[in-house]
Amino acid sequence: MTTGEPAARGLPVHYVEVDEDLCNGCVLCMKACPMKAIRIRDGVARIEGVCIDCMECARVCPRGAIRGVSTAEVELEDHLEKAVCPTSVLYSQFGEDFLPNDILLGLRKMGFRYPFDQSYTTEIYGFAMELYIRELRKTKNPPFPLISAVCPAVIQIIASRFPSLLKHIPPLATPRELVVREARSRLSEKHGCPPEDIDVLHIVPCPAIMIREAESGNRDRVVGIGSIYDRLKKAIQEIDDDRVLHYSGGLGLSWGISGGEIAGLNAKSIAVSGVHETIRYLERVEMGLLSHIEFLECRICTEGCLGGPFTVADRYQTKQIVQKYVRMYGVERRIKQNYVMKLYKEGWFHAEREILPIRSENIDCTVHERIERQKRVESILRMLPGQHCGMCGSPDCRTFAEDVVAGKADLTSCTHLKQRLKNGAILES
Amino acid sequence: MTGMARHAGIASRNPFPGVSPSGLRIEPVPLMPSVERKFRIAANDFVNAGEVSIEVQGMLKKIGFPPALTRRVSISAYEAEMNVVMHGGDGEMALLIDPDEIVLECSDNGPGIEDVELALTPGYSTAKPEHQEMGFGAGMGLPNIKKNATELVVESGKGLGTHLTMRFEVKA
Amino acid sequence: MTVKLSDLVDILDAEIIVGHENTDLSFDFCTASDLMSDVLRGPTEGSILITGLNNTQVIRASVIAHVAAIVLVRKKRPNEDLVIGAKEHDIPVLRTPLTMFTVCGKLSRMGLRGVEERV
Repeated sequence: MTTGEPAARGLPVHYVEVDEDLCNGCVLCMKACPMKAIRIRDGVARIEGVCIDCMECARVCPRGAIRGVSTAEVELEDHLEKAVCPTSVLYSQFGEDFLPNDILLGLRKMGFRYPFDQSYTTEIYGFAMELYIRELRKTKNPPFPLISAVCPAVIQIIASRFPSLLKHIPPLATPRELVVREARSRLSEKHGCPPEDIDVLHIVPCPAIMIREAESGNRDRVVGIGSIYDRLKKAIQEIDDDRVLHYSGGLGLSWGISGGEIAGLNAKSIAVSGVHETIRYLERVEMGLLSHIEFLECRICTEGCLGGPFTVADRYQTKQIVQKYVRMYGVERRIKQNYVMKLYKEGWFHAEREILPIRSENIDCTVHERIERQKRVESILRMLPGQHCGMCGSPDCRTFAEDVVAGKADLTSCTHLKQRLKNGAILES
Repeated sequence: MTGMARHAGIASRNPFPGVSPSGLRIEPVPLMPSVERKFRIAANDFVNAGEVSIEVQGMLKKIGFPPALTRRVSISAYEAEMNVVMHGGDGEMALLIDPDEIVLECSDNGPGIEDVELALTPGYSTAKPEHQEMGFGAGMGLPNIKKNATELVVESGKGLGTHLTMRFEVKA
Repeated sequence: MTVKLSDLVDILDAEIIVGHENTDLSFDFCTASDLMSDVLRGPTEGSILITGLNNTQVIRASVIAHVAAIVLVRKKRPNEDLVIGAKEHDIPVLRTPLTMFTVCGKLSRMGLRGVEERV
């Protein structure tokens, strides 16, 4: 049973689902959710609010009742003629004896005819970002810090909780979007058909990528690293091909680590990882405290995409492997700067997405009405015990008070209050 | 401003609603809806420093005040909070929200400000060097609050703690 | 023992295809392979690559692996794209009529060491 159907009021579709047969309605996921989107109803956890696919809930669930959704519980045989665009996180998942090129050759061995290397577009994207920042520096009131668009969950957080920060997201396509675009354009030329007809298979470290792909309305499929791991591992050991499909230096390979995106960037920048830390930093940006920073890299997974929920190898071990690549391949840019500048001027890096804010409820209320509501929230809160026990089905007492005022919960759901009512305490109507 | 009485708690708001300064009685002012929240600030707690102003910002966002106003109030709360954390002496911040006015009251029992006029001079800072390096803009202090608030009242004196009253007018 | 590009021309009876202006370049390490995926394993930074593979894959691998000069064995006429790539990335290319084994032997006797001996 899934809880992922798109809801009214502009709530986004999410790609994390609770298996209600396995769930026993304990409070752990509800308390772990940084968006306070989960409630316990009828003895099971339901995702009711804005879910950003961070999978903090899945990480704490003791019964394994929560999982991330990808489109392809895939019969890979159906996708062999497609472009395959794996995340560069895939390269580090097989131990330090295998190089990025081996992984790409392994995909070919599995039968995929067209694997594309994302690390190349990652390197050129880094330079394009620098060009963009240089342009912005000359303008009045540049939207600093720019906030990286690479993590789709971060974009969801901004769209729902920090809509005033949407202008900080640079209008550049991410490395993943760039390599997919390249793949479509090359294959469409090869097959003589329009780029929209080229389907792509994405191999990803997390379900958040689904948000972006589903919104674009194409027929692409998305599969997590875990789903193809065993088959790919076998294929890598049987490689008999010798092409060079990987084409980047260390910078292009390092973005999977938190801090990798800014490593080669010549600008004042900070990298943050972890969902709570990311939210904290976005709050600071909103306050104006970080305007002296030019670029903020945020990832909701601790240590960056290497720590994504669909990865297989341990994030600290893969971090070591990536750092080894950086030593091996060096950090100089291998690209021709003039070539990238030409692409930049032609608008090749322009993002095709438009990010709309997620409508919050009650946008028609006046400030006066909202203050009234807040006053009610505070008065209800004063009646509550403050234990944050979660028995009411809301994650904490304040959120419960807000749910009551919003009509989403009943005051009597609080077992402590119910007790006091029975004992004749006065209740404010 | 020196030598004024020390405020141990949060000062109450105008005790005589409906009375003009000259003493003439005018219509009773209707009780305006008012949301009030109080927060504690611990001295030298740099791990949690800034949390109160983030709560303040969250509350103002929820109510839907214009982003520019929310930012002005949050930044003032931040400066006030950081002053308490940096200079020793625990403190308390109160946030009072009305449709036409937001008030922040911040008081602490720290060392107090010896020369308030000097502290209000732009550029003056008593922030220690290690604070200024923290990277969050610590050390802009009272002049920054004065710039952002509609009205700032500072009551302090050496050894007397500090009480700030910051009013922000909400324009239609 | 350091060997210069100009020395390579003498020792290997080689012809410079790309890099006529770089005859002073010097090298301490060397690797030899026809498998570019092996070359990528490094550490080949600044070294000579001896190979019989005659296509652009050689340039790709050399760029990523920081190879400093390429020696094509068996007097192969270098592939056009290989030459263009080498000029673009400033990597000298030589060709010699000798076989890979002989080239390796001669360079080893001159004191060049294998890349795995790098610290």
